[in-house]
Amino acid sequence: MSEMMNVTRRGFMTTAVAAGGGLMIGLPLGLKGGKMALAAGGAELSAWVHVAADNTITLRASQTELGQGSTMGNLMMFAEEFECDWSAIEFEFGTGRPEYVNPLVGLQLTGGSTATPGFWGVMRKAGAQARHMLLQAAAKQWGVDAGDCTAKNSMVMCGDKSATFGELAEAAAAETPPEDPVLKGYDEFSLLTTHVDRLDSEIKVTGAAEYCMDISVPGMVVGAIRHADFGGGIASYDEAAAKAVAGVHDVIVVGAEAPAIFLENNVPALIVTADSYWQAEQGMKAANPQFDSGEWADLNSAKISQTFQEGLGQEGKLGRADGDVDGALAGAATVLESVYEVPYMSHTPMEPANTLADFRGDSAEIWTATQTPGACYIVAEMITGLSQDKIKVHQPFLGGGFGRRNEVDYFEQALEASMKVGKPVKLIWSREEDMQHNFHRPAYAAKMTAGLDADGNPVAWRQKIVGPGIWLSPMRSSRLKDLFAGSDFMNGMQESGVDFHSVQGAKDIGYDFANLEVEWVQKDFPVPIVFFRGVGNTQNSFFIESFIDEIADASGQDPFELRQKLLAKEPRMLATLELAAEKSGWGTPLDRGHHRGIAFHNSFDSPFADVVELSVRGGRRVTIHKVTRAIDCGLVVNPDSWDSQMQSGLVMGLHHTFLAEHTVSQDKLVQSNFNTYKLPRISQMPEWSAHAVQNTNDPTGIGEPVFHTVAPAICNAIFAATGKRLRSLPLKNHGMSLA
Amino acid sequence: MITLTVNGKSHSVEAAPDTPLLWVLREHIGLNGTKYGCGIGECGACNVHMNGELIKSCQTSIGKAAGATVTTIEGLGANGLHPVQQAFIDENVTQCGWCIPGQIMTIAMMLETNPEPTDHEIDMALRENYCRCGTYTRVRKAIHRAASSA
Repeated sequence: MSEMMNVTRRGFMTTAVAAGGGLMIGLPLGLKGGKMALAAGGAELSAWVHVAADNTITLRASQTELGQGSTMGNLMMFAEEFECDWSAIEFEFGTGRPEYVNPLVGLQLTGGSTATPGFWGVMRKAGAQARHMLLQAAAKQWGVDAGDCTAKNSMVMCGDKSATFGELAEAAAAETPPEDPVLKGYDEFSLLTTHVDRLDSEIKVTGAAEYCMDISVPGMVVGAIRHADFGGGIASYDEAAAKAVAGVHDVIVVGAEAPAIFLENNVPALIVTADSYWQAEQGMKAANPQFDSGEWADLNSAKISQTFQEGLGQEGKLGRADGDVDGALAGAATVLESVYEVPYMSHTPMEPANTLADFRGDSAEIWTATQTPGACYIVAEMITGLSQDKIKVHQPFLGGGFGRRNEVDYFEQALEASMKVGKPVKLIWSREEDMQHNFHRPAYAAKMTAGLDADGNPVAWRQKIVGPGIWLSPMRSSRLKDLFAGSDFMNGMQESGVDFHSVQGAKDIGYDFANLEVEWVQKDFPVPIVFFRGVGNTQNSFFIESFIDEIADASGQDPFELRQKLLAKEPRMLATLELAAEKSGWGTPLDRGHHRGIAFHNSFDSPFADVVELSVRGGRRVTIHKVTRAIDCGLVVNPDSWDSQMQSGLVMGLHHTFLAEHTVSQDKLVQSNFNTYKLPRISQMPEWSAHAVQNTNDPTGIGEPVFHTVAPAICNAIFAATGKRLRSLPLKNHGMSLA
Repeated sequence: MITLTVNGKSHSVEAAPDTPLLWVLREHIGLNGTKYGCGIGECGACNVHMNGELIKSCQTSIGKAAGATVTTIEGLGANGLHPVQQAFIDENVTQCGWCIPGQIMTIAMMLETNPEPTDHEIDMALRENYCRCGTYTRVRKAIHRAASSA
């Protein structure tokens, strides 16, 4: 990811900043009860903070709150330096100002495990600058040196003088902050690195938290939607029948013509609007839309799998080539080769896709469940022709995201619908549309080859990956993708022919192999695809870590010790692996029938390791007794959010391992709701513990690294228990289930 | 017109009798704490109490709810926070929060008949509540905390 960030910073940020400027819209979401946050009087000190005359302090977040908690982490960074009273703050989400651009992405976007590392410097500096503005204002009022003034608990003090931040705010707003204020050392933190309770708990447990789907505006209609099949079109629908349904207003097609060229691989969709969502769905039933699949009518999972198998025998593009793999394989005492495969997988955040768009001719206001307000502004400008200062995008709380909400398809549909019907439109995707027209984690296959010398040491490593390219697929039309056109990042991929995310976690493998090749054979399908929590790492970690275990088994080595050897030159990675092993009691005697599996992966600059202890009954029924997790993510900004993410990644990992699969039949995804795309339940939640490598390095991301070692650690433990090597996911297809 | 009592207040709504209670609560009465997750009774995000029982409001038509007494997440803590809500705050359970109202309604109903549930009983009560963020460990802790505080 850092590769991407660096290039995109150079190649794209200038545009994004210019395009995103000019407007700030904080959502009126006081997090202590959903009330209007901004109290009267006072002043805004910067894009990040408003201080009211009554000393009500409202901090603003750029990063979306998907549940992951990094929004709050960002506010803690600011508050640490600002010296406000944390227990009394309000907060809201800001969009549209250049300050809110994620410096590691070049857009206001929450993803890529960048919310914490990307804003670590930004938020602390901004907090210090705002504090200095208050100190300077106080110093002038009191005729003292600003250097003699101090701030604490939303008060400025100097000798026997004191004033609240609120009393100083108006004067402070006129002060010029220092360019590079001195920031606190790690040993001076009073808020950061301490356990801080969530700010949004009370409003979320009382139903007061406002999500996009909860928002209404006067004159609004509610839209239901049905998409055409992948790469297909709308064959027919009955507009009159739909309009005969009580409450129905409009029947329109979106995504069929320019400028709405984005919508999910150019498929159009039918929207029926009504006074209420249920009426819109009844209208949709009456409209009875029929779709045609075009050239992909016969697409199914068997064909996709067959294409992958063919691809494994074809030549691809090299993502990395070190040493002489062919030569090393020729001289190897043993050559191992295995083929792995993973399916399409949907994110299924609990809140289905939705957006409320209000196009008013000369302005537009949109509330949307998005991870990418930055892209929303640009796309809204493209669709409406309005300049960005006439557009407001609000980002409320999100009912999950996991990467899916980086795409802005439903945002665009709602806006196009509002433009067409001349009313505010709240578009709600049904769960069925949400799953079947999701942008998925792509299906992939990989052939893993290793050469071992006579002592069992790996002397050659080759990973050949076959599957779609999130960035390079010609079938993937995407505004987000288009926004990066012309950047060094995109140009580099086009030049090499290797998709960044197809080889992510493989090309940058942590293990030391003198002779190493990573190759990608591009095979695209019209099933929509995008980033899924960890992206390329989700499958490549499974392929690599399973195969490492195969090497250990073939050479009679302990799986942990083999990894130790291969990480000898990577101290952070080695320490993380060893921490997981130590905390799990690796190598110590186990209860009868219990077995351990280990997996390690380095991603987003946060090495991660899992040790799973399980037993298998009847060869099929898996009971997980204990999961031991370890990470090096530098400083732990908020141990509570950190622990929450460790828990979250484990559950999603269980889903990935045992259950998650979308199959394709006749150009459609078969699984459409939770009855066929099942999630893990509370009864399946194992005991677990998580451990951080202790250091004071700047924080690195955790939202994604917590996910992708679960599957290989479980599969490796199952191998230890049964001798069966399971080379495809999910395990339900092998008759395995989680007790 | 169909009349029902929600959180102690009488409401008369104009809606087709087959309209799910879920959408009546959200769109007619303006109580948005009850969430839409699946529409087929699989995920539990829409769970509310009706006439003293736990129901899936996406699977209960307003026609069947006529005259009923309904409690939603907004009305659960009529006199301040319900112990389950307080326990969820104390354990920092929530992540995205979309499934949380349905989970809390389910747990509150369980505790009425079983104030000291075992882990197995918790598993059984929550077998039809999905959480995509994966808050399950903390949910279990919060239930035990609520049970011991009640």
